[in-house]
Amino acid sequence: MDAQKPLLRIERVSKSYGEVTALRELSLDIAANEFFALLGPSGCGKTTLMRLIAGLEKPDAGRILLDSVDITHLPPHLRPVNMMFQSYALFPHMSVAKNIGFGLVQENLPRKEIATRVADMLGLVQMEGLGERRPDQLSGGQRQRVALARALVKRPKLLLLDEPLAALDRKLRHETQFQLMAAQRDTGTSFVVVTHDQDEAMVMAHRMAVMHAGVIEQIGTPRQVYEEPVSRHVAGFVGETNFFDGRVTHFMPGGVEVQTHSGLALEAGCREHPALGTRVVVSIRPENLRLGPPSQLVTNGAPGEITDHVFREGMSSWRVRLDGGDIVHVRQPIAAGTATYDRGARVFVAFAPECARALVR
Amino acid sequence: MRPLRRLVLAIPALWLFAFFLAPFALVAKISVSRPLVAQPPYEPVFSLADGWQGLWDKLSRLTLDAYALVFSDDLYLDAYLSSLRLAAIATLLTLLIGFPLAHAMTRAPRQWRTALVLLAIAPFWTSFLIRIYAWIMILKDEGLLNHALLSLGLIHAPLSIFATEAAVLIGIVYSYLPFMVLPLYTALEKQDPALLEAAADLGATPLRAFWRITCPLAWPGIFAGLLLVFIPAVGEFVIPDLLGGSDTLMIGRSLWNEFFENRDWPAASAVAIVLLAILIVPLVLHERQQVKERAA
Repeated sequence: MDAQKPLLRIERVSKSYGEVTALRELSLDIAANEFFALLGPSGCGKTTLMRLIAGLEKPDAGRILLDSVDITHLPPHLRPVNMMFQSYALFPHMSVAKNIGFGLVQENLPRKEIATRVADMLGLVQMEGLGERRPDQLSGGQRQRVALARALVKRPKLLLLDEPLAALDRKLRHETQFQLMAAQRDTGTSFVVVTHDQDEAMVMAHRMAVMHAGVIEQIGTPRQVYEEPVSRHVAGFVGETNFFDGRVTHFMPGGVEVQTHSGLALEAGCREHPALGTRVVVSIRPENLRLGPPSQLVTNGAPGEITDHVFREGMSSWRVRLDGGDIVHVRQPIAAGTATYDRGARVFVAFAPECARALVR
Repeated sequence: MRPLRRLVLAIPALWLFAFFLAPFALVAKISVSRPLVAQPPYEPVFSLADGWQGLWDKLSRLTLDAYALVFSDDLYLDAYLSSLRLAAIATLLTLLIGFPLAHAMTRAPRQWRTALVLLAIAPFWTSFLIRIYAWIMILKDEGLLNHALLSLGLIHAPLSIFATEAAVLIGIVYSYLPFMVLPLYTALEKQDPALLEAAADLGATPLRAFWRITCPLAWPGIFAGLLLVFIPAVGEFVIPDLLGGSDTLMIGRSLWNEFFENRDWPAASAVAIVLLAILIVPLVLHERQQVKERAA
């Protein structure tokens, strides 16, 4: 992928709204046929970035190249990029078929071809026979599919999807994720999804960028980002985690030992080389912690007491108050023969150093 | 609950009866009476003392002469046509001015919009008559407008606008502009700006997006505005009387003349009834449109 020329290249793009900086010299490459997710909390600049790609906003500085062509100043109606709006923005006075065909009418295609391609799209989104309905006669899920069909019918090089699943209920969201992935595979279009929901990004995207305060903190596959977050912000935003603040006390191959403020000595992997005494945060995912009986004595662990126990989706979740004062979240799958601990039980919490990350930022 | 509900419904019903239906019935009755130099200036006058025979006699004296006069005299026909023409031109001008105005209002920052709406209706805080008199001062040959244009050197002789159709059009457009702007503003303000972005994203030029998205969605507002201006403009009396010339023919003036100068009340009433009949056509259209909207 890196050897190929990128489909979309964003070069040091900046954008401010008055005093507020939405994007700060941001650069990003997106490959052809890629499912890419822009992930971040609201206000991180992900929506601004998407609107810049669509041409709905102009950057203050920087360039946007599509297939090596500079499109920075091209108005939206001339860009071979289409967008699915968060509100869907279906035209309320037009039928479903007219909505889907709108983009093709603008290209002045023959009526027959428009009809064929609209019918194909209705098939792709499983809406055959509903072409004459009005948007207000459709369910939320159907409206979402019309919006997708309308954006895909022009066969864009790049499809932008603004929070495509936000308006759907939980169950439908789950199904629709797989429909979007199938649509991306079948059309060979690059999809860029903007979302604040890390689950969505993790499930659908080939690669994702985690954004914070107008910059990209980390780009990688969902697994890379989850397992090797580069910053406290990324670790906290993507998936659940436990944080321990402390200072570097020793160096080890591939990692450091950290003395936490609460008095624990933790070993953790580290990609950077912080000096002794540097303030770092250790991030350990709940599933990388293990509970054991209090008698068991291990390094990289601490005794504590169970404060809560929840069972959900085949997993047991515990909250443990460590004797040093930290409260940690432990998650383990339920299997036959697994020891379980109830509220108030004394336990020992252990973790494997290779799963812990010491983060400087 | 139920008696109270009836009472609540009865109030507007009574209001409509007392101030709309009853006067309408009176005018309709006068329109089929005969003119008379007397007080009241028509006959027959019905009375409870007549008894059945008297009522029958008087009913047989009712006549359609006034309508025959209205339809046979070219003066009335010309006045109607001229009124419809002037009202139509004025309404279109109002739309041409009102649409960009309303559009700009919806694009203004949200915190300004209420103030802009207030500004649009601000002229109503001054008497209508005074505002029309003010236009005389502006438009007359030695008025403000000519004075300004002359001193700017844009013209060398005063324009004669006052006492022409142009002055009447200016007066109507000025007076009825808020009735156009307000429904347009309401219709345009409801539109989701994302719709225009979506249209642009799908390849529509700004002009195409305006014709295919903004206009059709604003149609209920456009239609309401057209009617709210056109209907009162057809029957307008004060503006043509004050700003128009002696050759400005409008039906409101003919009506006034029949009532107060010729004292031919039946003819005047017939003119009014025919005017009402003409204006019912757009009203029915409006009603149909509203029913359609509610169904949608």
